Amino acid sequence: MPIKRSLSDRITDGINLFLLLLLSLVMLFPFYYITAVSFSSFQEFMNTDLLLFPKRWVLDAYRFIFESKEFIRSIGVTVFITIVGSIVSLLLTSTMAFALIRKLWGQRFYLFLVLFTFIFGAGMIPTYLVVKATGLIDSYWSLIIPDAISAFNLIVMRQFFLSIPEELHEAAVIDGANDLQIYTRVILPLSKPALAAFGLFYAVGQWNTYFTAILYLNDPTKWTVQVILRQIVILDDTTNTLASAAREAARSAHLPPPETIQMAAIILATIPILIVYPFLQKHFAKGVMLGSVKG
Amino acid sequence: MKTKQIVTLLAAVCLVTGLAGCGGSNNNTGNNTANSNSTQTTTDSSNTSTNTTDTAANTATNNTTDNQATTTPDKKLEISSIQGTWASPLPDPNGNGAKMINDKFNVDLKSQFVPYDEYANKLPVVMAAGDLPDMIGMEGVDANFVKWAKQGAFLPLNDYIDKYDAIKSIPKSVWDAVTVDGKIYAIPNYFPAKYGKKPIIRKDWLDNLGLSMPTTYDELKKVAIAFAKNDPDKNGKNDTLGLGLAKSIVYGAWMGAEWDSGWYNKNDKGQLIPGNISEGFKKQVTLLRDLYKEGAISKDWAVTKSADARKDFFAGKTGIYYEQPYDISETRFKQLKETNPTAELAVIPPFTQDDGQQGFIGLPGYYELHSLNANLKDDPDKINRILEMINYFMTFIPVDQRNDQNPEFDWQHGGVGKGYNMENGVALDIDGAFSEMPETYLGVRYWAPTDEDTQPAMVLQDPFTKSFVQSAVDLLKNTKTYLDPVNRVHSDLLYAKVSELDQAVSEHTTKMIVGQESVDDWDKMVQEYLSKGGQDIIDQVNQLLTDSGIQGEWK
Amino acid sequence: MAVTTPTSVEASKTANIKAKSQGRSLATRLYRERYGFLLLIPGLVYFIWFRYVPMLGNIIAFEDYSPFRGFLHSDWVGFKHFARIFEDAEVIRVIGNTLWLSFLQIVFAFPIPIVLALMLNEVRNQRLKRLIQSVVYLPHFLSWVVVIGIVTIFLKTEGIVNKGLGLAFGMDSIQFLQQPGWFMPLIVLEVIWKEAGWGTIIFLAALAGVNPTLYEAAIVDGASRWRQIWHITLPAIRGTIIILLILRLGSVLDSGFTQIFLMLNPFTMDVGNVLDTFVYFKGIQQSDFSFGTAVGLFKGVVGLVLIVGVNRFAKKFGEEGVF
Repeated sequence: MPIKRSLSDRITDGINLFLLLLLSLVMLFPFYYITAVSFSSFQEFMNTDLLLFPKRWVLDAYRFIFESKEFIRSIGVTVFITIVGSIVSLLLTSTMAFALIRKLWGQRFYLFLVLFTFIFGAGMIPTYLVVKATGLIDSYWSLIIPDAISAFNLIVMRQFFLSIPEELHEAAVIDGANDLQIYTRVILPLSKPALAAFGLFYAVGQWNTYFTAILYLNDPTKWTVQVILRQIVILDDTTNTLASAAREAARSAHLPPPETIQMAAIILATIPILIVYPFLQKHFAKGVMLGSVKG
Repeated sequence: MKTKQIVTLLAAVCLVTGLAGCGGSNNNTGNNTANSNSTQTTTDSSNTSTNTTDTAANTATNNTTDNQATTTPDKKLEISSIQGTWASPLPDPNGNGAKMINDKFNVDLKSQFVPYDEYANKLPVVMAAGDLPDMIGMEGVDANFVKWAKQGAFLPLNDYIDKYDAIKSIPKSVWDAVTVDGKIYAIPNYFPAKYGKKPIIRKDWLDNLGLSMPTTYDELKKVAIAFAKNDPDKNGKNDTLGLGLAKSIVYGAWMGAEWDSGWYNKNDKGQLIPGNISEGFKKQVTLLRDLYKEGAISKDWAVTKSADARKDFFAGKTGIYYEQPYDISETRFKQLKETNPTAELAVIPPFTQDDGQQGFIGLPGYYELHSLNANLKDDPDKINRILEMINYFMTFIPVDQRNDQNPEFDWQHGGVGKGYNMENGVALDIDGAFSEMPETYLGVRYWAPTDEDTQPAMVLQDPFTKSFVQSAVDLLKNTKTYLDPVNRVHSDLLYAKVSELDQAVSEHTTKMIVGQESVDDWDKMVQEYLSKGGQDIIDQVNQLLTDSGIQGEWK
Repeated sequence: MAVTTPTSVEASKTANIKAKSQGRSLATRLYRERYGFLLLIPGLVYFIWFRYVPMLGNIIAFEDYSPFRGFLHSDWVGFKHFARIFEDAEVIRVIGNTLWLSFLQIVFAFPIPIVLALMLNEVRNQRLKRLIQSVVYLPHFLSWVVVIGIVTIFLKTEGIVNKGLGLAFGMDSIQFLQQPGWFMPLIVLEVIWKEAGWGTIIFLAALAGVNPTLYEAAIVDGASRWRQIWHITLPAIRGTIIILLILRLGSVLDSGFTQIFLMLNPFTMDVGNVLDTFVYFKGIQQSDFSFGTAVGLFKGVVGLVLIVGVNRFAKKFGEEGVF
């Protein structure tokens, strides 16, 4: 923008940028710490209180994980369900969100129906029975379909659709378009930022699939990366209050692997989904609607 | 296939939506089938099958095969199982070990393994869906086990177990734990009562400071304070702690049954009471308070995870912590020895109690158990085949015979070079080779005639770990172990309330240790415990103990 | 409902869009909206089958549910489990803590992503903007177990923060994790640290829809940066903010169990015990399905009342609301 900027403007910019960079450092730090631990030797980790600068960077932890067939395979499974799951979720959510701005017969009732599920959940057992009755047990679809639409995402996406000027729908109707066509020709092209954002939400949700995999898939070869990760990073402290003396003793042979490996597992399980973000970012750029909306 | 799906679908709809009709008729069919075919002596008449298809299947098999039939090893039986595991990675359900079992026992084993983290969630779901397998593994006896046993989910085993030598050798103290209303509902898995976590001490630190092994709480206090203040590792820095303590007081400073949290002490009415409200435990708390005041335990102990307290010990920063001689991994011990080459470890012998006894509280004597599905009651072939397999894997092989020369051991471990390797005459499991070993799939341990027979030092390679374990075993051999009788009875009040009450006690004691509350308020805390339901628990537990004639015993 | 006869095809279609009831019979209306329903029905079927049918299972809140006996044959106990929530006088303080924490979260943690999004929106260098954006959303991917592990290392008595304070100001060590006064601030700060960057995504997406010509016009009119933010940027995301706020109120009694559970210790129990942890200590840990369901229903009723109330309030002020 070639408009001349005042001094106070520049100062504001400077302060803004400074604060953001400071914040970035604060947020990056733990990741750096985890990375440092994952590349250090177990011996050094054991004897250092806060390990920030390993004397020697070693790959042992990563080697250990990559030797496990399960890890690699589970990444494959998870990539698959993440892609398919996000597409299915986006499709179902956006169609329904669109239908709910069209003021169909009974629309307030449908909205309330959705909102109600946001507040009142269903238990694990009845949900399992329904999933089973649907014939999804032991199928990858059990990780995708039962959580396909998030009521939260649906409600917020509908809000996004509402902010698209109504004149655009009208114009399309005048051109003879039906609701289906308005959805594909007007709403979808104008909602790229929203689709990117909710696509990311769904993708990250799928990527973190953990409990449903254990619940619905009896065959461990189908399990997702988070299940494998959790087996490496055993969370012995969340269950500590229940730990009986017998369990403490019996688990001794299966102690969680060294922290260096746990940290490496966290890094490896996070990187693939981190890579997605930069690709979606461009859709958040300003002025997507430029050209379709004038004035 | 299609019809089966529709049936399950309908069943689910019934279950979920509550069409009363299908549930009722389902029950009747179940009972009728049971009655007309039953030749069993003890069956709970409330045993009902929840799933239409299951009942149908039972009827079919019962019609075609003779109920009284002698075991027909020729007939291939499909046997399903579900169990929790700590193993990582999980065994492959179709691994080589499973195939070997299939061939040997003429079965078709369908195993399902679930990480223990989520097993408590998965099992009820499988049960609710009517998919309960033939064999059900559980970690221990808890409220759910007792409830489900009472409701008829599991098969009573009293009439079967006498036929099997290894199973028969399980001691009564352990059978009691899996017995509900006189019926045995599970086959427990061996775990030595003696070899739980024990207090261990840096012997080299004692020597460095010219101190002797503590034998009383006063001496322990002096030692722990000296460990923190007198530079026991001679590195010239003030960087050591006396005793490792973690949040919730996971391990405290119990040096014998009297001061531990098990049910050992009695109140003035002669009733057995839980350890954490006893005078003995108060003594322990008093000690910890003094140590905290003197800086001999970490200032942050109340927010320290036990994993971190352990890390500090094995990094050589702590003088006293807890370890066990059985079933351990050598990694951390090796680590300690590498960074502290002079390190020597020893178990602190239990202190002499006021009543003259001297010994630690033992573990329940088992860990994990297998129940059989109550629906098997009309299928003695299957029951016997399962028990035969369990018995086989439970049959003890002396430690010195666990090598490639012993055909049973060799087979159970998948063969030399596949499931295990021989090193220095000792068989060592190959890392991650669970799926090669038939032993994995039943999840049964050898039942050792005595705890000493497990010879835990024999299987270790690292000399430092080995010598520690051997010294611990030697010490414990001549030390008595108290068997907590409460492990052997089932009090519903205890199951329902105790964790909440213990939580409150743990809060008070934590505050006492750091000085936010006075130890003089101990009795007030006990009163609170008793009035909030603790006394009811004590009454019920003592009643149950009297009724069944079970007592705490030293062994 | 006024009955009017449309005069032309165009008018009828316009009417259709505005969905004013034209008094036609229901069948005609449904036929006219058939494509809309075509888009609605897959989602609707999903909600009914995967959300409402399982919801019927919530009757176990009134039973002593045993998965072995099933929904129909478990013992009926009425309101026993609800009574259990309130049997302990402690519950009053616990609910107070829960509401206080929710209040703090809404006042402090909720606006941060909005501010952050606005700040990011003002960065002119696109590459830098993207870089910062990618960094601030990283912490979201760490689990609470890892985050609190790191927080503990930093804040312990001899941790880096205390050492720094000691060097810089000669202060005595502060036991951050054990002093009740620090509990709530730490919880809120942790949430901000972990989720603020992630929370910006939704607002950045909303801001992407703002027409750049509006800014150009404002600059021509000589409007300052602050005025532009106030008059153009904020109104563009106002709808989203209100919706998110209403939805947030629906879960005032939820507090993020894992985080609180891991941060709690006997010293902070009085100020930090919230409903989720309270019921956990009371019995959910024994996989007591009925009790857990009863608690869920209780929280849901409170959430529903709040959402419906606030929604009505928002509509009074001319906002769209959730439904």
